Amino acid sequence: MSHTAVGIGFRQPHYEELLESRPPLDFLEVHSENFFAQGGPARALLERTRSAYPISLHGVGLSLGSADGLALGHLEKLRELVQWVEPMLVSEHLCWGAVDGVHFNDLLPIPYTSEALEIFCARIGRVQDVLKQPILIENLSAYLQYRESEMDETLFLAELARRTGCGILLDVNNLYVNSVNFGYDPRPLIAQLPSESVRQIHLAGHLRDEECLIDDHGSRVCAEVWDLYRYTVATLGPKPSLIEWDTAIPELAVLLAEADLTRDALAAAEPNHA
Amino acid sequence: MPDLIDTQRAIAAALRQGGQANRAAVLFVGDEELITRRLAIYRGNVLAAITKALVTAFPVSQSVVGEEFFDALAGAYWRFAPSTSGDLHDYGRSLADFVASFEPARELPYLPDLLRLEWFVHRAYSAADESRLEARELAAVPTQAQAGLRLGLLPGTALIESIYPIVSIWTIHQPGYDGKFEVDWSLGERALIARPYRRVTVTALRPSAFALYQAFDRGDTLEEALQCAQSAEQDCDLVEVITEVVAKGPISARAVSAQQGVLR
Repeated sequence: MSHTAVGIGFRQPHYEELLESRPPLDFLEVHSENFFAQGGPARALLERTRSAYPISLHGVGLSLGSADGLALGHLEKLRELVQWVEPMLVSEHLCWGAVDGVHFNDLLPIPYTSEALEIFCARIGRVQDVLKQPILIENLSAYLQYRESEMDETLFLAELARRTGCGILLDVNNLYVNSVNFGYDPRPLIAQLPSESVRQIHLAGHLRDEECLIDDHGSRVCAEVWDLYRYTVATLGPKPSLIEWDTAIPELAVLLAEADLTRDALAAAEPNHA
Repeated sequence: MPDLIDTQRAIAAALRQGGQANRAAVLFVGDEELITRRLAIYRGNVLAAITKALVTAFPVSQSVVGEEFFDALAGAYWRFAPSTSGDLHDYGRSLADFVASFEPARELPYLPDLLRLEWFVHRAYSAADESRLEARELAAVPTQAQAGLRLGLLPGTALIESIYPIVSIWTIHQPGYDGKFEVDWSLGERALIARPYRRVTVTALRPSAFALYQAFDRGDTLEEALQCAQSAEQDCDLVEVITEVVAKGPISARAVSAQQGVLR
């Protein structure tokens, strides 16, 4: 996969149109859990799609940060999916979501402590063994910070990558949302990341609530996030990048326009990293 | 410094019962009011996600009871039986049973069976693919061997017998339905939920056909199944019933394939 690969999220309102019109995209990304089906229309659709485009599998429910263990049933479903889809990338989140059998189906932040790092390293090791390939871990937008955190999220990710060989999926919108919500400059954090570990970037929109910025992936990438993206690819080099739009999904043409803007930004960064 | 498991338990408690926020508040940076508001954002996200999952799985029920009632039901159900899977397609299995004792739904006695039907539709959508038995394949089996065949049903096939017209309620809510928007409340219906071809279908069955499918499902031989069908509907034409079932129904080819393997 080229460093300048650009893709979009493959979403239900666009399924037929995209497969018929075949716009020039380097890859499509789906939520893994939407395709755990053993058969039927969803599976048939993904079979058609993987013939047309490389697929990136992005999981939201594995809950790697759960202190009480790894969801082996869920992992097995992911393993089956990875086996037949043969994705170009598999990713999950730096989060937890379940404890004592109850799953919250949300991306809850973890404290960035040595205990959490040990747990995450063990989980990732197990997952990479089962899937027989490295996975990417994505940074979160969080609405709360733990008092006990010993390091920045980016440093935690860098250490995770160093110890397990996993990759980092850098969501530039999430970085931006956190930087505004908690009041800091995100650029030094980006510079902390080992470039070779960052293997994909996500770009998305957010909304401004009276309380804080809410990472809803429901709008165009804003100017400040484009700036941060340009800084990121100038600092780390161009990376496969995805336009992520999960709610209030617009016409396909809007996503393709966002993909074009992404390509422009990547092209501008290329000369620095020839 | 608390262990990660205790941290996660405290947050889980705060998310499940709003009033427990103070136990979790000590974990985070900021004053208690800020933390309470931020935990409320997470709780809102969780409820939105599970409500969306339930609306996706039970669209007809939501249409019938209305958005406001369904949202309230979703919240009450989640408090009673939260999700246990990272895949929200798994959520809602016990909703029908919950509604059967849900006081606000007392005036909607058909709702549990309708929810049951929709749950089976939801599961049929993602059931494993398997070859359907063709009529000519069954005809190719020697007559004396046919009687002993244990014909199974395709993955995801389900049967419900209800005193309410749940198939009709479901049917009139389907996109593209252009008939009269009414049901006969005096009639019960026997529902077959299946995916014999590409789409999930919901069909109201006659008593003999229902008994036939039930017999296949529990592993009866074809001969035993036909006897059940006759008992269920004394005056039915068995040939007509079995012909229709094999022509269009969700019968698996596996028993006949195995039989042919034996013959070769």
